[in-house]
Amino acid sequence: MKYNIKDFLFPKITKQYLFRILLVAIFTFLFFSFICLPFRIKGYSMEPTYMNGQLNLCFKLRYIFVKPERYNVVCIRLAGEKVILLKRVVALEGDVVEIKNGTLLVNEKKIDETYLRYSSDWNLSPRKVDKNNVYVIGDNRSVSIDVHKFGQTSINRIVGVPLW
Amino acid sequence: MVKAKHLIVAGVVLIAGIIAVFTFFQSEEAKVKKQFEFIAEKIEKEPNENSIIAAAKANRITELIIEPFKIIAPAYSLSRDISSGELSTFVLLKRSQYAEIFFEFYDFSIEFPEKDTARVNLTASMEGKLNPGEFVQDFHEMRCKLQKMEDTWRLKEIEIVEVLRK
Repeated sequence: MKYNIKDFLFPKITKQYLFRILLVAIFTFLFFSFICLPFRIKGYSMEPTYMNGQLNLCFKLRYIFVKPERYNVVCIRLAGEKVILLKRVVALEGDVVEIKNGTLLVNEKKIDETYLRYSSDWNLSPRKVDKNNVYVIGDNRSVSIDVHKFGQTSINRIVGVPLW
Repeated sequence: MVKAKHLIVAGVVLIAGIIAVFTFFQSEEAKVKKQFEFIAEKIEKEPNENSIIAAAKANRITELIIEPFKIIAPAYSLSRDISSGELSTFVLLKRSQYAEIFFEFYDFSIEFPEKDTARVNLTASMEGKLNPGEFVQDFHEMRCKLQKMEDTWRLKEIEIVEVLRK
């Protein structure tokens, strides 16, 4: 069969063509709703790993069979998925988290945080992570501890991981 | 044969009917959402807003609450009733710190546990420019309790959910 550019750009509206369009629309909707949720990063709490304004996809199937692990960057939902928080898991259930002069201690041991670029002067008294919770913090700790949103959250709130 | 003119008239009547149904027979969910849209509109601030408009907006917000209006914020160990006067002062004070505010509510989950009572779970999003020019953004999950009075849904209680507990 011979196709020319006109047929490609302005195809005849046939039943088969409409069916294909419908299939593509359904697949796109399902893919971007239930598998990869598109989002734009607003804010500076994960810099320099993730910069303000970047586009990304939240892969929602990541934690179907496994639980989040330390150092995973995760997407945390609020009431729904229109606004999600991007944070890094630093401690798991049962761990004791503490920050001394900007150094993060988990179970009284300093953990390796190669992703940090900015120093901080944060101090946080020891606290235990509850069952079915994880402790998350952003990579940018150069801001005041009062301004930065971090802490423990239920793993049920984790919707997935950024795809890149 | 049906004339094109008749088809057009039928189409216009159909569209007008749909609009009328949506306007006059709004579902209770739509009415609740509309109240939140109204609140967001009154919180928002345009640059160079004058003080009369600011006072009027704060006043309109307080008209949408039922006293005693309870506010719960576990992150700040806060749980108390506030009067409409206190709320008005608080709104005025907070808004005055910003040169510009964009406010929106998302992800509504609305339940009606009993007649004339609604429970709403939602996300509130605020982006603002502080008076020195610094850009600020904040998001909170909220659980709200509303009561219907004189055919208007009014806020009875707001709880700010602690999604991340330090």
